[in-house]
Amino acid sequence: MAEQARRLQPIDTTAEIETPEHVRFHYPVAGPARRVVAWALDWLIRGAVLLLFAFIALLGGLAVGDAVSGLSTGFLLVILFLLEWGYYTLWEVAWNGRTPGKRALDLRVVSVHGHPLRTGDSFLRNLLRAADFLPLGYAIGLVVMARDSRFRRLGDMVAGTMVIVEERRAVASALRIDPPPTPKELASLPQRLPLSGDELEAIELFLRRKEGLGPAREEELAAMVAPLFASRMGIRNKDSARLLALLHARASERRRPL
Amino acid sequence: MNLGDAAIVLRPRSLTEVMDLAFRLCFSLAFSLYARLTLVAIVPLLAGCLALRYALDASWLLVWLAAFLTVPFVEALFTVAVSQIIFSPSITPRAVFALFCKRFGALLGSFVVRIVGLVIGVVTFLVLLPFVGIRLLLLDEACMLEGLSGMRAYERAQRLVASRTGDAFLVLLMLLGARFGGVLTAELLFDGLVNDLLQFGRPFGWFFHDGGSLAALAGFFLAVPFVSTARFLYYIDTRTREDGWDIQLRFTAIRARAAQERRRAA
Repeated sequence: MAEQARRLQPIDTTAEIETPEHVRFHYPVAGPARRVVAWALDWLIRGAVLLLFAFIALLGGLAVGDAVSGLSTGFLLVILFLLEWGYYTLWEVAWNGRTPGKRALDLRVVSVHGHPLRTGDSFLRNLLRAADFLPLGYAIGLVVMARDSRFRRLGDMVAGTMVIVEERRAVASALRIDPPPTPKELASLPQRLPLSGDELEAIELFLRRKEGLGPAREEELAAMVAPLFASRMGIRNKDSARLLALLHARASERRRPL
Repeated sequence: MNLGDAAIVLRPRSLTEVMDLAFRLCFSLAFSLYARLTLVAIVPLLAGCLALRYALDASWLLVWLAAFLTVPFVEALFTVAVSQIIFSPSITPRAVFALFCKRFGALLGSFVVRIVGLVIGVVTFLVLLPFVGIRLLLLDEACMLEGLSGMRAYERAQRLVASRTGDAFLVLLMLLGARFGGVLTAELLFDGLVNDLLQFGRPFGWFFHDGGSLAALAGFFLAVPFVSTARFLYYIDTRTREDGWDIQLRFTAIRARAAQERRRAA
């Protein structure tokens, strides 16, 4: 039974969020590989800020003398404390769930329902960073993350947040069919194609990737569905890959604005 | 192999996604099998290496050499295991070992190819080592999963990475980082516990001083399941891109729906 359940829901690195209107969104969630790099960038930035203040304290010490050496150390410890406990919350609140490291890696912290991060949640998830760090190197956080389907560490679980990847998606360029469809070829196809949205999407996926498939594999894949579509439309299927290209061209033609 | 039965979603992925998925797989679906395989394969190997060090008084250099020479076999075993977890419904350590033993002869051949590659890399003052490393990256998959032997496995492994050499190099670096990370993490965790917390000192050596320790060696071997899983998932990603496995799944679903509609209509 458990085996069957496992097969029904294959593992992926995405999280599904359902709105109250039953609209489902899929977010790619960020796992350890991206988050470690983002953390390392933030660590470097924090180190650079601390060094800068250390330099200022050093200059102050040199100018005034030994009398302020204790004050300089205290000043640096305060800076270190603020960086350790305030850096992440400050950036996440100011940049809507992002720190400079996360921004560089296209990551954003959101609530588990996909809503923007709230100040309290950010404070809570970063407060528990100390627990995730134990015993060292975020060992507990990594183990907890690996066991969770949304890669949440302890802080995320308590605050009800997750880290998602905001993919930069460009508008897909129009597919070019080579050689272009002739009027005679298009005339053989029905004006309104009896194809579902899923089927058109699958055809587009095939056409966009066919260059990398190799001729034999291209033909093999096209032959899986082209005869089916041909018989549904009552047309002849001489070249499977070409037929799929023509179907896509006809569908695009109908979608094109006047 | 039925693609529809795959335990992971088959689609082209970025390298970070491949690593994340490997991480998740190791600690979820594969955890139980990996734990059992670790007990029967990695623990005895680790014990053997430690016996070499403490019973035969071998230097750490020799112990590391023994570990490096044996680790490809353990990686091959875990490669078979992860392929079974993803594509086959029944998984037992016994079945994994049976498949491993079946391909052991071919694995020896690919081991020779690997050694020759490494020698070439070393002889050329490490200049050619990255190129050799890239070409040997998917040798285990070609040998253990595609049933090829010796030079044919090498040629296949080379073809698999030919179109994405840059990505293959990054994967090589990531896997190297994972191995080194395993050594470092185990050493620091063990030292933190035994030396700093319990104040027992360093009875099994200190990697940064002696060049080796029990914890470092354990970390090196314990990184094997992750390394094998990540490499296998990269192989799956390559095959998905080259053979359009995700497209095949979508077309299969379209055909299945059509057949169902025909049956309903009849």
